[in-house]
Amino acid sequence: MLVAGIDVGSLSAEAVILDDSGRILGASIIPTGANAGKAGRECLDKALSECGRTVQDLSSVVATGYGRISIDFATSRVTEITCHAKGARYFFADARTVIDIGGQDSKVIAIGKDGRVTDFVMNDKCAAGTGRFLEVMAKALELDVEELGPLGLASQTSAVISSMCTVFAESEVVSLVAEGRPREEIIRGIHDAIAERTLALARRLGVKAPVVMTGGVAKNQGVVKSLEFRLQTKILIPPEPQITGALGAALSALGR
Amino acid sequence: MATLRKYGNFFNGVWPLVKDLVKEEIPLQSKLVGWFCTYTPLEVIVAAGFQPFRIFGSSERIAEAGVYLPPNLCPYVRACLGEAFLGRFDGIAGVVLVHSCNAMGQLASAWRRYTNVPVIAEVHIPRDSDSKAMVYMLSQVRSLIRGLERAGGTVTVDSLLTAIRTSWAIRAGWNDLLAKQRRVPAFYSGAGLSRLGRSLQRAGPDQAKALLDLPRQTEYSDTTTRTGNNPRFILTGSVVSPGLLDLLDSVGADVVYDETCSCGRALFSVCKDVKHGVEGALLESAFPRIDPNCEGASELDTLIEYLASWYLNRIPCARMKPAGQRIRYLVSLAKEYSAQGVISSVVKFCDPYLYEQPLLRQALLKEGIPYLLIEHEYEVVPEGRLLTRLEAFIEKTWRPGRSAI
Repeated sequence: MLVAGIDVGSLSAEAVILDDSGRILGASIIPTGANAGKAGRECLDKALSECGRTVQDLSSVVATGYGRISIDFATSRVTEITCHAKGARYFFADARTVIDIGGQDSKVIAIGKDGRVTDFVMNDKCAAGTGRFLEVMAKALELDVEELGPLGLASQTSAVISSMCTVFAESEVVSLVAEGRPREEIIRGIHDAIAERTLALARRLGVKAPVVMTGGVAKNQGVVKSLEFRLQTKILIPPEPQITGALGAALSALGR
Repeated sequence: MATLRKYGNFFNGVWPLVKDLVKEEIPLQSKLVGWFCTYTPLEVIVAAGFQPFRIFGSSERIAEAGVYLPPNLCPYVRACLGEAFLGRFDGIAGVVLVHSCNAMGQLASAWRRYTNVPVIAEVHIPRDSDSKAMVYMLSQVRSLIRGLERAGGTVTVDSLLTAIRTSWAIRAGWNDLLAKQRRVPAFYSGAGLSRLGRSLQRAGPDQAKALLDLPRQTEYSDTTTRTGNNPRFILTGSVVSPGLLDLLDSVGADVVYDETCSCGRALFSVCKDVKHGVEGALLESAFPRIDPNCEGASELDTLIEYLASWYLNRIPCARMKPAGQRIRYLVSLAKEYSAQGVISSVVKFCDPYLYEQPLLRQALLKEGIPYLLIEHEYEVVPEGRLLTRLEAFIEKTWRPGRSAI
């Protein structure tokens, strides 16, 4: 029998299908949209279709993410804190710190040597420094969010973005554009601002290497490099960082 | 979870009775005296012939209250002022304003200026508990008595002695309920017991007795249906609405002791606290001449001194000194109640409680007790991030079958 993990976040929903040995058979990522329950079902169907299986092949489904309560067909629900820790350890067995920057929040998770979560911190005030923040900045710069990483890395200098409030930072970006500052420089400034905020969060826990970064923002090499520079350590990125939470949920379904 | 709901329902069943009891207050509206802070010497209010009732605030007109107060001020204070704007306190004898923390001081200023609810007295609470502080506190209790007498009350030796004994009877009754929370599994749901604790702070002596008797008479006095597998937590911190307790109940957490400003800190007793080592010694030294039952007290001044000592030397809130005493107390509570963790619930902009967090976290972690800090806007709603933090804390601290600390 197979198991599934579903991670319904604020911006995207992911599903992972595992066999009983823990091998990944299928995975999917779709936008969450306005209906978390529907997104959960759709991403599960998509992941099952990828490996040519059906819901009848599943013995257990664990839901995670903010939309976990909307997945009425889930066998159980586990928080994304635990799931990201499990998912990160799947790829990097000795991981001790997980930095997860998702659509509308960011988390730093400390993991003990035994793999259990020992502590965590979240930015629970607003969406500053998250995927949503990057999306708004990309829109202000008339770019796709995927273009930010390579462009930011191309700049040797960094514009200063002093506010991490998404609304105020957007105003700053618009002002910098009006001043004629190079777009790459502004983007690097945005990446540095996110890294600074994440660093402040991480310092509240104390960072132990190896450090793994998960969530959609881990795909942005500009943010990753800026964070590596500040943490003075290499950051490990799973092959598909966005499915880490769903993978952890699937591992929970396996009882791991 | 089903068991938790059952107990929750029981207390929800109690709630209409509480409302009925409170309704009886209406004809006596002119005898009601509102209070806000647990440092209010309630016994004096009772002795003067009034009924003290805790004002918990309302979010209904909190925005209007925000017009008169700084935006970065305690939401509880704004909620209290907002409730006054609803007219709920029209016709009561008045309120006792206490200058304990800065936010309470701001409430006092705004209350006088923007409401038409009379002020019986303003009581200034010293932050220390040394001899000079004691002299000052005595003057404040006497000032309160004068205020109550101006409002038509009379405080005598007999009435104050009776009020103190009644207060101790209520605290002892509360203590009896808490004793059952030390059991594994806990006897009552955290949300239910906290609601009862809040009701006790609004009830007259007879109503309080009836409230305390309700759980004892209930058919739910059988613990066999309650699972021992629920994670157990101490809830501490500043004021909080019952919403957080409900949320914790809903995720399967047992709050075995609600030590917050809204509940436990208003109801705990010397008899209970004397057991806690250093606190006990401190309390005993504070009562050199009279015992907690005040046997043999014949002069009003002796009783006033007793009360001043109790309020200054009780387990302090985060605003008072010394911080170490409070932190040791919380560590001992966690052990005594076999708690798997401590949750600090701090209302936004409450600097005293935020200030103590690093020390408290350090002390608890040293003892291997997990700790979680939650900041909120007083009226707690089951919002996603908060739910995730609470559930993740439970996942972190608890495994089925794991023994408590």
